Amino acid sequence: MKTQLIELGGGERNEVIKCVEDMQYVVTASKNFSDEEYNLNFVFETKDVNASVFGLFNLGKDDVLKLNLRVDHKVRGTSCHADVRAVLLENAFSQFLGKIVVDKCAVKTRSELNNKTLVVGNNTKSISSPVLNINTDDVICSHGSTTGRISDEEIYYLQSRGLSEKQSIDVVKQGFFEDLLREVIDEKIRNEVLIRLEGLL
Amino acid sequence: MKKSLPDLKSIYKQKYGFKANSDRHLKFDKGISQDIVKQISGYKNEPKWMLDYRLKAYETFVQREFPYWGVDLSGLDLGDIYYFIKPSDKKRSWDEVPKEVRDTFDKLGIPQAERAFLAGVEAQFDSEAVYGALKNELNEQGVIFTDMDTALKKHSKLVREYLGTLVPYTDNKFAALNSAVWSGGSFVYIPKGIRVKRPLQAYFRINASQLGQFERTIIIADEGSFVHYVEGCTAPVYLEASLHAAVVEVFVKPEARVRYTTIQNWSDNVYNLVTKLARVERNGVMEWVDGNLGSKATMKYPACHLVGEGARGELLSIAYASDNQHQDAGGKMVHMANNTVSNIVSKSISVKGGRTSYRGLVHVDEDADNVQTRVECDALILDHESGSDTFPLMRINNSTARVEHEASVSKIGEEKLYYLQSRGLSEAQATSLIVAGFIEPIVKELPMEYAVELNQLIEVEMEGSVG
Repeated sequence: MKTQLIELGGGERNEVIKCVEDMQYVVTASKNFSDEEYNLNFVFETKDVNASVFGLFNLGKDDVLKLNLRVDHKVRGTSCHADVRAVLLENAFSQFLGKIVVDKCAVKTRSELNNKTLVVGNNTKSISSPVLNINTDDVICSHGSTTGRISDEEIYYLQSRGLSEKQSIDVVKQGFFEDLLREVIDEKIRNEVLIRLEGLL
Repeated sequence: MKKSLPDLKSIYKQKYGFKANSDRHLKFDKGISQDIVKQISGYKNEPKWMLDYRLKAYETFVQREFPYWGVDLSGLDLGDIYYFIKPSDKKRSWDEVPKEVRDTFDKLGIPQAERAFLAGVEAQFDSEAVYGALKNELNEQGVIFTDMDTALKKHSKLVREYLGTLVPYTDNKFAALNSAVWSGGSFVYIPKGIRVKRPLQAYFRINASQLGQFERTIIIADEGSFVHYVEGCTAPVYLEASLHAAVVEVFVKPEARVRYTTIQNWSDNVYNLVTKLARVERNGVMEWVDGNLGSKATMKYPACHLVGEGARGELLSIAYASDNQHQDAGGKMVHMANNTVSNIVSKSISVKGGRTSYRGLVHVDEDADNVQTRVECDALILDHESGSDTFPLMRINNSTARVEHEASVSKIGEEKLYYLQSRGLSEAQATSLIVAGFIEPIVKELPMEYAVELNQLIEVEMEGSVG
């Protein structure tokens, strides 16, 4: 399976990606990332194609992320696993509008959409709206969304092991992205994403 | 061959068209106007403040647009509705009630006295034998439980203090309509510290028409009190009018708890557009239990404003859509204070071209610290013609909130059906059992007789839907 890196930045703000073969798509912020709204539409028009979409964002102080992610299943037998995660530092804002649309003829569709937000800073705001629009019966579709603050118990535990508060927070952030990053097959892309996440190992 | 509910619904439409040949000794003209609003208020002999309120609401209604989202309202002709009818004692003869309706009452074990009322044969539910004892008990406790028209006469100050403060007529077009032409509904006041042991059932109010298009209900649970209010029923309910636009306002004072259970199974000509909102103060608990089984189209989103520290809001929702019904239901939880908690569980089933849509909002104010909220919505689609949507929205403006949301949509797994059929069940029985298990988390919260009836109803529906 191939991996494609999609960097959200100063360029294209609306992108339609036709999923014609099994693929991993890794979405992250480029150096030119700004607070504009980005629209990504993954369209399955070829039967029996499987795809994963991983979104990884580390929003610094006052950063803004507005991502609209739509997955259209138009033929039978396709599957999509979409997982978008964001860490929010001080005053950061994230808006995630997701949508899975399954057409009447798209039987045997498997589609999953997850959005996780880890709040580290104060005065953060987030909006999450994962929508399902299902027009046939023989499918398994789901979505999930969680938002939560970094746990005081976790930080305290790590500090009791000798880490500073900043180191402890970095470890928790690293763990937050770890399982997704491990699934990225292409090592070069994985490393580039790590750089985008600002130095997390 | 046994007829199922989906079959008898089409028989309603084809043979009877929900037209009753009854005498009505008072009926205003169709359509709504300022004159109609004045006539309604004049007929009821209301205080001037109530008339003024109705007229302002009417102006708002005229100006507001239909919602651009939700169910298809293109078939709703607001000019073709009677906005006030005072029924005579007898609506129609028992002979005019379709045989299939009577058979369904048999299958569900509906008591004889209730059948006549539900089928539109009697305008009042004669339940003195049951209700009399309860009424005395309530009087001794200082509980007020009456219809809104009587409350406006006997408790005018109290009604004026609360009416429209949670759901103003500016809330939406149908709240404005209700505020202009409301009639019927319940007024409940529970004094401080009183816990009403038995559920208050809406159709146990003896006076006035029990089935109103534009019911207005107010419940006030004073500090430390408890009440469980129940309305509706699982049996199919005849409603001549094609629009049911009710408004419910619930005030949960500190440390009080209110459970509001609704099971609606309106006939399939009805647009069911309802606004329900509860205000929950410090350490108060509000529980909505909402069952939507009938109507042509429903839009209903029971809401909680959690305004006091430690307040809790819960919503348990079932939606069943068949025969091209559209149940657009859900809930709203607005967290406006610290340490508030909300929980939404929604289960929906769509079959035979029906569509269910979950629409929900969770909002956390900037100043609301340590909020916890969880939403779970699951949908079963039982055939290729049906569909399902979820439209959740989480707006989190406080960095200490803990928010969880999950949703799933699927059909019944073939391996589950195969397993049960290998144990000797028919496909219909297997489907019925799995569906009953699917909705069990909500059914177990219903009063026992409702739970029993609902399970029986699902069984009847599954018989007609499978094979």
